Amino acid sequence: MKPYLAVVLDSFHATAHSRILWVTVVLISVILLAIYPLSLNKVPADQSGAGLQLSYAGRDFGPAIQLPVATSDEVRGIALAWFMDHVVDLIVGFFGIFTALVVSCGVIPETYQTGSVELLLSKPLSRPLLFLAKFFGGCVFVSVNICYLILGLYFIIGLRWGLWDIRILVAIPVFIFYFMLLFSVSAIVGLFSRRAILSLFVALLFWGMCILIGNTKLAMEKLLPIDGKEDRISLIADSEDPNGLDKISGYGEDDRFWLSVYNYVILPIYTVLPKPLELDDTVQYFLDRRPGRGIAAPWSPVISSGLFLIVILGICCTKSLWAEY
Amino acid sequence: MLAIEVKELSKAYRSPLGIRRHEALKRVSLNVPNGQIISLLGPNGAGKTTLIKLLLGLLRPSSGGATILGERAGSMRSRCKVGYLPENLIVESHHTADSALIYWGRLNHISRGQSRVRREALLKQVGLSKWAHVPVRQFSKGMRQRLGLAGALLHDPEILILDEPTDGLDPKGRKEVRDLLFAAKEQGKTIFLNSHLLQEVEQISDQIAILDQGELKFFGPQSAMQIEGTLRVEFELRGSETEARAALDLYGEITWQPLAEAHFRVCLNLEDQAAVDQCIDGLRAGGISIVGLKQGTSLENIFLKIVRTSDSSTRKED
Repeated sequence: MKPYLAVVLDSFHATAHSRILWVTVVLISVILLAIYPLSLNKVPADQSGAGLQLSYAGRDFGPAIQLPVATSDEVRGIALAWFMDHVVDLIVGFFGIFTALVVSCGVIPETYQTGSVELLLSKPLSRPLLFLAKFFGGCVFVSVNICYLILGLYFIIGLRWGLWDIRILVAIPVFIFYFMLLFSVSAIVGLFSRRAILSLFVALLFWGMCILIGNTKLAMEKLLPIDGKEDRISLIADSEDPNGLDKISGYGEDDRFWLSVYNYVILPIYTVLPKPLELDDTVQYFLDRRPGRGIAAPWSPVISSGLFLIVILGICCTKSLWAEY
Repeated sequence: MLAIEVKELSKAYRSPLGIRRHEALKRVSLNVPNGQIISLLGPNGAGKTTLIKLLLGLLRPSSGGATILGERAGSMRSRCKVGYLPENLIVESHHTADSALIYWGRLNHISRGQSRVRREALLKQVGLSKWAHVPVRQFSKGMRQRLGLAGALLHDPEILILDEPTDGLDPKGRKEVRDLLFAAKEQGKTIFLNSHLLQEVEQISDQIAILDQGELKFFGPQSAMQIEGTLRVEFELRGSETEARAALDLYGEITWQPLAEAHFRVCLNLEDQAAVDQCIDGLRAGGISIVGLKQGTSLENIFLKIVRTSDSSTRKED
């Protein structure tokens, strides 16, 4: 495995030498320093329970959040969840992943460009393993940055808020996995087209589509006048009785149309696509056992997204094995 | 065992929709013995790069096959025995000459310690010792070629496949590369090279393969190339340049190489011995001293004749 390890490390060195590593390290340090003065303090509430006051560098922001709970543990849990939802998700889940995609979009196209790929493939290396080594090489760089950022956040809320909760670190593998999902899309486009810009564009488009489909599914589940969500809808849709919907719960024509859209368009696409947003729910589940967006099992987004990743990497390995250069 | 054995090797490329088919290589067969320098010649689009890529397993043959030291060309085992220098080598800009060799060594399953000893010697051989720790982005094309050559030799392969190894090199650099190739040959390595520089090929090759339009037109030693009506003559002359030029201008394309004051080396292609005699008479009449005279068949002329012949026969067929 040594040659493949050399490829992984070389990919890391390539990004490190292009100064991108240092730019992102500085950027992350600035973000951490900017977050450091942020605090969420427990304040006496108007009624029974507790309140949380958001402040930045000693200045309060907005009215205190009223909580129907009073124990310190519960307050700490809510503060932690607020931090994960508003700070980690925004910084790591959006800006971090976006930057990582921009930085890594050239890894695969550059490897397979003419003049570079011939030399690599003339070496006694397996083509699929070479592709995977390059892919994971791209992930190593991002992993270093994600670790730095989340460890930084962990220490900040530990020092500033007194919340020394090791479960925050669950976010590290989850966000690396989140990045790998989108990077796999960038990699497959890069492998086929050998164009960095196109691979970045498609990956961003795909990311947007995943978010759109996930949110559309959630919105439809809330807006459609049904209980029991998917199971119930499937039951109704599978029914051979054309008036089944009306009989069951008095659905109208519009509802019937939107249920069909939900059942035959949104749900199948949602099932097949990875679920980057829902991965946050897995983190939340580990932090405070909250059910997040209503997912039944905390691991279900990880499993379905993992299957997607395996399929995409499988296609890439097959392509690299049979391609002619 | 033969170093390279190619049997009825064909390669056809298809357009993306599979409508058009272009035969890049047509039933090529050749046997390359061990320890020789073989040069592959041919005009652009002749199929030279396709043949090299088939030997490396970068392309799959449409029919036929090839072996390298008894192993199927392109297999993992055959690639262990081959050192390759691509035509337009791209070395990632974060590498120095030293780190690139360490990396390539690792890809060839060579440990850091093993490659350390070899890379110092190789960098010295290719004239890059002083540049070992300089980023390759500061290298000229010639320096990158030399680094690529060192990389190809790093794992001590039995066969070297070099695509335009002297491309971008100055005359001194070309000589260094030639010496390196001769040294490799003395160590028993087989060198298969693709070059456009016919003069280079003439100087170093044991055998020459000429490809044109995907077909092997000639394969054998230079001495076996006999085509009437092409004589390459090299004069070493002393005297007035004006007079010498006046005497030789009748004979078409001439290469002048000044050696000293009123001392030149002149190369020209003549049709037959009568033309050579006439040329000598003209020079003597102009008061020019003929210090030296070399005569032989020009590889360039032979190559052009072979390629032209195949071109005209193709047109007739059309």
